[in-house]
Amino acid sequence: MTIFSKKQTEVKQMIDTYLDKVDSCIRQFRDSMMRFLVNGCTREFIWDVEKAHKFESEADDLRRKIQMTLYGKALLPDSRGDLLTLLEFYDRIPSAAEDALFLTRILCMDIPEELLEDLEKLVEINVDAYRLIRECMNALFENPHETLYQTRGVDAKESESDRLERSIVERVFKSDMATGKMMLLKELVQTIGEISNRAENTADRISIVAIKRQI
Amino acid sequence: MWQIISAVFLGWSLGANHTANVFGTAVASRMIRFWTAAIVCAVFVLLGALLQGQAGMATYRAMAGVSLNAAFLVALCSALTITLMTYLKFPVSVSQAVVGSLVSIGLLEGNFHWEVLVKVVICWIGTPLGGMIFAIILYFLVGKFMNGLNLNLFQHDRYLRWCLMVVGGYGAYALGANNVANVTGTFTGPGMLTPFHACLIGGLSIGFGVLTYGKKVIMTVGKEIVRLDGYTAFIVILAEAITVHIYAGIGVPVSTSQAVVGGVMGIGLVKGVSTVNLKRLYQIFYAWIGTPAISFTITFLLYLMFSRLGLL
Repeated sequence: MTIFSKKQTEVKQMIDTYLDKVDSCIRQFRDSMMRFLVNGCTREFIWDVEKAHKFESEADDLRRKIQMTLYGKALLPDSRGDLLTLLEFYDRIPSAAEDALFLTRILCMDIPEELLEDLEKLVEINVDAYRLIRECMNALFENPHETLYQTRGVDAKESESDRLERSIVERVFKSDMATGKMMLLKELVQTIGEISNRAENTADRISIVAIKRQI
Repeated sequence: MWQIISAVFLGWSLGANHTANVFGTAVASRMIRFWTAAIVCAVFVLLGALLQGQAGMATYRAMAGVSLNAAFLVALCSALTITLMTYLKFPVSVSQAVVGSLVSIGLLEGNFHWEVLVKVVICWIGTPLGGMIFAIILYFLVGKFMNGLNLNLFQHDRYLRWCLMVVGGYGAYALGANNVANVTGTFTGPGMLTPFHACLIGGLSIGFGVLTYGKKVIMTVGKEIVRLDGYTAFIVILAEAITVHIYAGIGVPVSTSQAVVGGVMGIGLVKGVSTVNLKRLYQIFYAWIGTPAISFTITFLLYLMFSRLGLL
């Protein structure tokens, strides 16, 4: 197997590094959002956003490197195409986290006290959705028979996030805050929820990759 | 024995055109370098020709024993038919061209054995069918085995690469065993080549075709097969190799391309999609009728001309 596996081992190692980078980005997202929800738009929070951005762009660079290695015929065209598409989908998750952080930083708004708990919960659900998709990726590379079972968990988290998003938005619009603020809060909630949406899309891709390899 | 030159030309053309059927996927997808594939292919073609190529030669001898000059004519006319048909972009099969030419000479010389032709024609029809049936059976059998292995994406890819490499070697072996008779089969007999020498010269000329002109064909024809995914391409090539190998044992040279089309149809049936259109079926049908007919006519005309000139 050695004549074929050298490049594959290289790609696998790069993917592992990439996934670790995305893990760091999402961890940073969670810590930053929690800091924001507790302390507001502080200097530390802005510094945290920069850190998350750094992780995201490092992950992006790694993904491009993987792409180039894959184009260098590391895998069969079919596997190459599947892996490239999958990474493209996966990469949208840290982008969503970064978008949410940037929006939070730009808005720098005061969050009404009664929404804080739900927003924290929303962040946790979306981070959980990411954790599950990460497990799906591990399953795909280590125990493919488990993959389809694992992807169901991501769907469940996405639905949970959707329900909470709707409930928060409903409460925002029932409140007496200014319409502009309502709209901005709605956007912030939806941007955070985008993480689990993208995790669900990635889960669908992972299922396709796994099913295609079951004959 | 200068007459063998036409057989060498035919063998070269066969090698150049048929490499794609066994290594098309691997090379066109750039997973194996052309030269690696070409060397493996040439070596296995020669091995197949030397170890199992003699049965087909016996069939051609039984169909119509021909003289050395007539054998030259058979190989020349078959090569001309293939060149002409390829130029006109018509589908063509070397086995069917050789048989058309042999029928022509056998009838003109009055020593043709129809019962052998019947056996050959039945095998022609059985070739795409064999490819199709084997593809269906193998798709499920190999699939069940691979599913049981629970391979991840990288392992799956690695196994498939090896499978394609191994099945390419086997396909080349079957090609040599089956098709060498087309090249030098008519040159065997009293006062001509021994079967071993015929297999050696035939195998070498096919291998020469693989090495010198295979790349161009492999990149065009191979891309057609590569449209299948790695697993189904492997199944198609394995089905083709088994089918052609069986006919090598029976001693009837058949078309590897038609076995491939049969295999692709089998995959289409299993997956419930249309992989082969009506044009493809027409092409096979045309090859069964048109190729021998054209080869027959060219041989007939050249035979009369050569006879008038006192060369036969």
